[in-house]
Amino acid sequence: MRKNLSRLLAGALACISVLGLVGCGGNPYSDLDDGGNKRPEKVLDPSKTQLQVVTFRAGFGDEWLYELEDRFEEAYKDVVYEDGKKGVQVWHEGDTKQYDAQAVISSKYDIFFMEGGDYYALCANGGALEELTDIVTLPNKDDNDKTIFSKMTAQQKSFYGYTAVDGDPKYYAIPHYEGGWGLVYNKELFDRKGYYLASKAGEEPCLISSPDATSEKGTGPDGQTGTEDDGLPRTYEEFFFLCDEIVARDDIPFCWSGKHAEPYLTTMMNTLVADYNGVEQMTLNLDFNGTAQELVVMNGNEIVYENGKIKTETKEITPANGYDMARQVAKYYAIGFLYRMLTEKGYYNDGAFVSTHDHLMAQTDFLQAGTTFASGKGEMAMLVDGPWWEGEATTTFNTMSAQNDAYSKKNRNFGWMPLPKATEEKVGSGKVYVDSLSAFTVVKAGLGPKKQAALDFVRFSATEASLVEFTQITGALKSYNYTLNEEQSANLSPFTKSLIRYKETATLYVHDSSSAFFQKNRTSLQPYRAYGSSDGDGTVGNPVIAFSKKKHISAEDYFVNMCKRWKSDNMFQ
Amino acid sequence: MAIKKKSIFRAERGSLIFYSLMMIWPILQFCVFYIGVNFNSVLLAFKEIDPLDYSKYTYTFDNFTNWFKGSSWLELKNSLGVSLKVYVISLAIGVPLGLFFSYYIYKKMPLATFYRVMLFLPSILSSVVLARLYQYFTDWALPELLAPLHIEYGTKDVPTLFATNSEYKFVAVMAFNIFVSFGTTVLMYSNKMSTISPEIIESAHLDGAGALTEFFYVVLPLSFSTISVFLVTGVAGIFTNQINNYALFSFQAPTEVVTVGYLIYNKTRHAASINRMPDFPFVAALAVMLTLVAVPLTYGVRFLLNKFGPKED
Repeated sequence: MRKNLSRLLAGALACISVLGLVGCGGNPYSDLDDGGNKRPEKVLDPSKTQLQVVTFRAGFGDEWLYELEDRFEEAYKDVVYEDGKKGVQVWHEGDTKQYDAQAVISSKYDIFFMEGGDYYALCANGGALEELTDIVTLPNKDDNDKTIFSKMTAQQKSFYGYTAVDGDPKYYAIPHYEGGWGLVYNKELFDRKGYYLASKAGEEPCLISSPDATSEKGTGPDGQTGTEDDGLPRTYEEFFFLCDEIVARDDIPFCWSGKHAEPYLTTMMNTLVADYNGVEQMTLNLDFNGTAQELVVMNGNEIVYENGKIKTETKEITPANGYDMARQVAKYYAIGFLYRMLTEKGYYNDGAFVSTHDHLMAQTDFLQAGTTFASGKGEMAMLVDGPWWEGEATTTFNTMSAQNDAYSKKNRNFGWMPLPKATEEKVGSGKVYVDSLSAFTVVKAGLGPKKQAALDFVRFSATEASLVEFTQITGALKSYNYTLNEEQSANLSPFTKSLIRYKETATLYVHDSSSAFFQKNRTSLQPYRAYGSSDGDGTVGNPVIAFSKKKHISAEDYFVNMCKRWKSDNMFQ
Repeated sequence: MAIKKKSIFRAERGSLIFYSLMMIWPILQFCVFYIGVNFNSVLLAFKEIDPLDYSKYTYTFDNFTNWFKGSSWLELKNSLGVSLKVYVISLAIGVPLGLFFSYYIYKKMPLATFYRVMLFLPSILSSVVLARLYQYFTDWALPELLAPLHIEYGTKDVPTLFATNSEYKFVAVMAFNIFVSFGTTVLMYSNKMSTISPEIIESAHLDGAGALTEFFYVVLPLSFSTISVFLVTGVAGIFTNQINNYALFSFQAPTEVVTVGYLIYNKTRHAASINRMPDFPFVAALAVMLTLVAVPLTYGVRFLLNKFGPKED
């Protein structure tokens, strides 16, 4: 009996080991082996030039890459890149690795669609990347003679132009997709329960559904009527009035992942700061070189007020006094915003701080709240996430729509929320769309005769047709200036349409810079670290932790401590 | 005679070649991955690398002095405090409990074999798997188990142990670490205890010794050589122990549980993941400073234990 038990145990342990090995194999994003080949009809043709691509395996999937490859192969089927070969075949795999220069050189891949990469680390290591300057700056006949350069913002042009070789900007990467953290709102809930504001400037906030209000929606944060954001809160004050009303009607204002609460919320806070600052003032937080406009005046550890308002000043900023950027009034307001989100009763979901409650669980909670799939009664009004969330939540959408088609991605109505403004004066001041994904495309150096094929493929991926196709398939945006016409956007989900409309009226801010100061201190200047504060007992804390604990400090004290921490930070010593 | 000598020589030469071939690989590995890597780390500690061109660098002492300034000093001071707290708690709770469990198993008390397997189980399971199980248990199972007892846990007001807003993350992490630490120590202690001659134990019993007297005056002194090994390695590991923070929190451990070991690991991991060369020297400088503290401290503790600890004879 004892012997049999031992054998059984040994057998079970062996099975566990084998399962582990099985887990190592098979890549669902692979079309290089039989296990994941979505195109069994495509076979390797040695008479064609072969390209191997790797893409970051994330919420956007790889369907777009299959389509891109097919179109490219067709368009370039008669081109000779290598002697004795005609046409080209492209294959890809997906993973979540970060490829550094050494990994790029030693990998089997020719082209890399990266996310979360460090472009300057790749360049500074030297020799790993192929120069892409020609495909960036020269007109592309396959794209109505447009250049990639013409579709990039000034900030992107400056960032991707690596100048350390001889002073002239050289391009070793092109942008890929974009996105940052913000608020996704449940439009069908807002419509059904009238969670829109009727108030205008100078009036007390009130909902259109309240008895004493007109049914006319207010202007929204853009200050204009007849636009997408009508009825949405114009200011932080209105926003939290709306949250209180949502709580009063037994719904829950916010839902986020407890596991990722700190990075998600601090990055969302960075979006608020960017939205207040605008691109120019925001970029000062990376370069520390220019004139800062609205810095909070402080007398020691006290914030100075004038006529009941925070007193601000203008100051020339250099790396030597860069710590003064912590005093941006935008940060003061954004910290206050986060403080209210985290400290008001009933504002967030049950899993908001549970360490094993991941982003997929939060998306499921958000989608299922108020439906027959959820046990609780309340619905969730807003999700803290990014534009990729619908892609990540595909399984939940499919599970729900299998029971009722009203729950399908196309039939549900969500929107990308234009953020409210910190003050009444800022209403109508323009929107900023933050890209903090660091997603770009590079080509490995030293590809020999097939180098041109790789360059053509990368250039092809940035043509107008490819950009539109990417959005149609993923519901996300590539980091370029391009538009989709009515026909092209007909099949997009309401959320993607809302995101596109938002982006069209917003300015893009990329949280990356070519400045040596930023590159030296890149880690410390990421939102997760940059908004850290000395929380009184000597430790460097995060606003999410500081405000979520029972014995939280006030928003104002947190701001003052953050300014103190910046002043003593080694970056500026 | 001459033929015999020649064949012996041939056999010896064959053995020598075989031995050399077998040893060349580990020696080469030792030279590259221990001597070479550590030598390079010491050199790195004095470098400041151009963030835009990694082939350019200058030599500086700033990597050392910057640890004692501003937010870096706050970070280091905090993690040093946590590391020392972890060591003291492990010493005061982990070691005595480990010894008692070992004694329990050594005396073959009821369910001793079961406890032996259960306490060793964490050592054969992957730490990541175990950490996940522990977190899921405290996050989801414990609130359900406590609900019928009307004990509030896992609510917004009384958060779960690992919740972002929990005040008890350090307690939760230490409980996990102490549980995990029993595997190796209990196995080693109980094995050492089992080598104690039964005659000595019998003699103690004849002299009227009870279980406690036997434990403190016979078993403990006779197992001290093994115990002292764990005490000495514990001191050596003060600055490298990351208390399973990576398995529990990945790269976002809260400040109250960040040890020096985790601080170094996390900074190195971040730099290594994208090969950010300018970030390495700062970490290398800290490692050099900690080595200068840990080496004499470890030898000092070893010396004291050898001089004042109980002798087996």
